[in-house]
Amino acid sequence: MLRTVVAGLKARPKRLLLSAVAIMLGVAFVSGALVLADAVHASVRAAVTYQLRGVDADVTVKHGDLDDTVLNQIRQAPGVASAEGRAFTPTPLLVDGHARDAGAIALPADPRLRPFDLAGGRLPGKADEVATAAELGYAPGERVTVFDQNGTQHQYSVVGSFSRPTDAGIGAPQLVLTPDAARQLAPGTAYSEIIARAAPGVSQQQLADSIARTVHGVDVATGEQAASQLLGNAAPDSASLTKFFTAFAVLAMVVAGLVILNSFTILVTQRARELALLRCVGADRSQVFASVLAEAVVVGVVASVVGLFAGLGVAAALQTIIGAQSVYVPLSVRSAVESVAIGVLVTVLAAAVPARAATRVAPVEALRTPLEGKSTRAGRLRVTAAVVAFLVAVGAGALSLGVDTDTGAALAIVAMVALLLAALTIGPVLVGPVVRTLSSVFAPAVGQPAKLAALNADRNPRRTAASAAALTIGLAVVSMVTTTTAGIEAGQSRGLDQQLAADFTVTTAVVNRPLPDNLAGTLARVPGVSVTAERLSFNGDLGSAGVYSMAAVTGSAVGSLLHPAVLSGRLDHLDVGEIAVSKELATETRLKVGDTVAARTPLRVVAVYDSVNAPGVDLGLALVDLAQQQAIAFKGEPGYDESVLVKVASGSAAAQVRPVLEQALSGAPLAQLNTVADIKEQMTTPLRGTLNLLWALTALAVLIAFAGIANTLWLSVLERTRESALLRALGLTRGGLGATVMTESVFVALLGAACGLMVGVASAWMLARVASTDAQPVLFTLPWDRLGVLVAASVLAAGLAALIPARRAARQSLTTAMADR
Amino acid sequence: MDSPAAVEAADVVKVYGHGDGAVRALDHVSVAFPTRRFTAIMGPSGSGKSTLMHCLAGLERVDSGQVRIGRHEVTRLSDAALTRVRRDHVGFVFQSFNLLPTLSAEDNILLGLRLAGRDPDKQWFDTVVDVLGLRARLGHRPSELSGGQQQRVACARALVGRPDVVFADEPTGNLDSRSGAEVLGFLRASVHEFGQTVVMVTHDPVAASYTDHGVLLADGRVASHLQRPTADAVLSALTSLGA
Ligand SMILES: Nc1ncnc2c1ncn2[C@@H]1O[C@H](COP(=O)(O)OP(=O)(O)OP(=O)(O)O)[C@@H](O)[C@H]1O
Ligand SMILES: [Mg+2]
Repeated sequence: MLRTVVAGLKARPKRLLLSAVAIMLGVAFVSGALVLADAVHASVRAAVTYQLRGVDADVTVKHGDLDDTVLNQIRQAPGVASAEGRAFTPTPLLVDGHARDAGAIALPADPRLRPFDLAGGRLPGKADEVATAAELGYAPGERVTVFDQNGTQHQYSVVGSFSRPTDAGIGAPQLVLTPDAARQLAPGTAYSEIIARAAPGVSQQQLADSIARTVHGVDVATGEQAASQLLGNAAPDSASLTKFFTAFAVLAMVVAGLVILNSFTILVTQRARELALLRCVGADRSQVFASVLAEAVVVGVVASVVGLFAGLGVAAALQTIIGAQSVYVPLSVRSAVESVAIGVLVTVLAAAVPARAATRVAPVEALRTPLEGKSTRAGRLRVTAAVVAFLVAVGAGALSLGVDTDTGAALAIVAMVALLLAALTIGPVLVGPVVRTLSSVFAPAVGQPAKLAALNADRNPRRTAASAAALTIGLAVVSMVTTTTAGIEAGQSRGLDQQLAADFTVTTAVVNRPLPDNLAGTLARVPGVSVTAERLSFNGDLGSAGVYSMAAVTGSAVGSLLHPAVLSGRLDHLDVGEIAVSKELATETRLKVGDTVAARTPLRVVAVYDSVNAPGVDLGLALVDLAQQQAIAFKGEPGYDESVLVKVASGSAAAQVRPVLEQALSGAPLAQLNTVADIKEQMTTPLRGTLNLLWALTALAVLIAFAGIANTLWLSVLERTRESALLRALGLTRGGLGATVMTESVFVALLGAACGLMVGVASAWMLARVASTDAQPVLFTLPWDRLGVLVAASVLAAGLAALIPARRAARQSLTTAMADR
Repeated sequence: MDSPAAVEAADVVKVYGHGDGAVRALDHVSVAFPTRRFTAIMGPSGSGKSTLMHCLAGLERVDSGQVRIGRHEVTRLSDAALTRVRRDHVGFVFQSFNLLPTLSAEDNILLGLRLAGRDPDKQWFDTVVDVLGLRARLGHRPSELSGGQQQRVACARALVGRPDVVFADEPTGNLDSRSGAEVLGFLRASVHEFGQTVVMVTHDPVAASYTDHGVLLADGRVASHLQRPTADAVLSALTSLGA
């Protein structure tokens, strides 16, 4: 039996080539995702190792401060070769007149306890010297300006540059200063940790024990323990990234599985006579089943191994897209085995259905004249199943509108899946009418080939529908995501327009640096400005209710400059002694209008609100008057993320006021002037980035779908060799024959794309209805440009996919084709 | 009948289709095919020759009646059991599409045995291959063989497992008279010299003249039997049936 399989594979490698490509792409994605996970982990591990290199003991405290007294005690402990205090000082840099976030560490005296390497120049030796991170691009001799906590500017001259890993998210400083300079910038700052190196012959454990005996009230970890802790803290981040990619790997494999299913179905149909002959000669059903599966295994293994290595490329590409600094492609045995196993498994599972069909080929069929594998017309069962799926979709969709968001989202997902299933089930029924319509649309331009293409597509509707289905899935996902993103964008924009009556906001470029004192007052006096208001975020202590991130706002601005959506109560202004709570906080603490919050000063709840969350106008979980902030601030901590809202006078235009405002702000480099349009831009940028990544990821699934379409056409062309020759003999030109195949491909793609778009857009509509709230509306808008690009790309790709099959059809010599078989 | 039948049909009825469109292809056919004999099934086109052969070979289910191959009553066997009977006791030569295009001649000949997991009898294999003059062609693919050679490979495959019976449906239908004569001569030799049993469907009087015995079908019934048929006798018998 094996011999038959091998001989069959050898004789017809091309028939399986394209199905192999589909699996290969799918596995490339899977292994790419796995390798990426390993890579993220490896880069985190590398960064952690770097950060803690040379560290034999790591001292931290839960309560109290690590200061120089502790540092000196540790230095005196037996077995300590050297010890250094580590503190990360926020040092915003002045770049092009604006402040930019940056941080500094003091230069450790012990060269072996430095978490960076000198890349050029030298390290700072005097208090006015600085070494900068290589990626900032400063040359020795340049001068940099840094802000201290009070906003005072300090100047340093660059003497060198250094390098260290940055993409592990474990805090990488941009500046290295002398200890004196660091102390000057942030006097009295405690160390976040103290690290120590052991004297020769002292083990990490001995050192840790010795320090623990010498200094009390501190936590001492060995270097290794500290590294694994740090690694543990960084891990969840990389895990969520991996999950995200895995979801798309699953999508790719589902689509690849569909392609395999279709391709083996066709192969089995075409080989019905051979299979029947095998049965006549004595093969039993299990042998026929095994022969088809064996073929799938071979295809699966070969394609998966190739895919595995292609996956290394995918991993590298994904790292580039997500902007990693250094690209790792570690290939672990586990990822290799898993990718190949998944590839082979999907291939075999997908081939199992046609393999079962193969066992149903009756031996007598070997004796009959070959019939073309014509599938039965849509059965009543199919239509019923599609209608049931559709009703489930409508039902779940209708229910989802009436319930709370979480249940609604779950129901919406059920509805989406049901809708997709309905579309996939009804596919074969749609093929006939759709291609006939397309044919009459295309016929005037394309002529006879359009008619032939429609006939060809319709002669085996199930096959045509199956090739289209792979595309439907991919496009449903892309169009849903695209439409939903457009809806969120539009919703944010509308939400902001409704809730923010200001024309400008002034925000601080560095989150925990305050704006200049009384900036609101200064700006209010700028000609053309009608009113300004101040806003800042802070941690508010609401007594027994808990500590929450809240916002404080000039009370009179509420209701005039800021209009959060009011769910209950009134919010036309906010007085001292009053508080407005967000929907989330109301749900969590069960506070309602009229209640009194027992904070340090009692606060009466006047409203429950819901608001759009935009940079500079974040209203947090609760809102109080600015005058109240001091009184309820947690531990008296200062506020952060300060902003000023500016509204221009009714007579003047925002564009004219802008230069005047900029002029007024020229002395405050930390202040950043934003128009409402800027804010919208800031809100959508991350969304756009995610959308682009999603497009890139789904593109692969769509690519696989096109491999599937090319595959089906290729097999159909081979199947119709004699018929094509007959058409040629009767006068169809080569070009005409090629055009027929191309047109069929375009028809299939249009069918798949149309179904996918309908499912995707309908799902997006449902999501918009479910997720939309008054404060954060999600609108249903059709992003015509992006959807148009999708359809155009589908048609183009369909033409490309048909190139090879079309060439093959046209190239066939007349006589060999007639004599074939 | 001088020896026990290798294959036997008893009161077999086969109907294709339902209702108005139903065709009674076999209408209470009872016939036995003795061992070590070369038998022809003859009759006009549409008389039910192929149908009878398919039923006898267990390729087609009968609507009523029994079919016995060797010791096996096949009408009620499961598909798996029927496959085993076919594999071990029956050989086939068809008019066309006898060989898997992807396998060499040798692999095609040995296909049945390999499927059954049986080892070929080396000596018998050599005998069959040499008698059929296929020695030099064993490594070739079917597409590299002439029609006559392809039919001879099919004969070799049918015989190499020493089945209880070989069924041949118009084995010479696609061949010129010389190649046809070679194949027919071999089938006769396999019966008379090697003791095989062959049942051949044909409507060619010349082909029938190679056989020991002829069964004539007309409208799905056995019309008559011919002992040691000659071409002339077959022709006149067929003409008398109005073919
Ligand atoms: N699969 C089938 N479905 C329906 N009718 C069939 C089928 N196979 C055969 N028949 C009918 O049964 C009858 C007998 O057919 P059969 O093929 O046995 O004839 P035959 O004697 O072999 O003819 P020929 O010499 O032309 O090969 C014919 O009327 C034929 O139309
Ligand atoms: Mg016949």
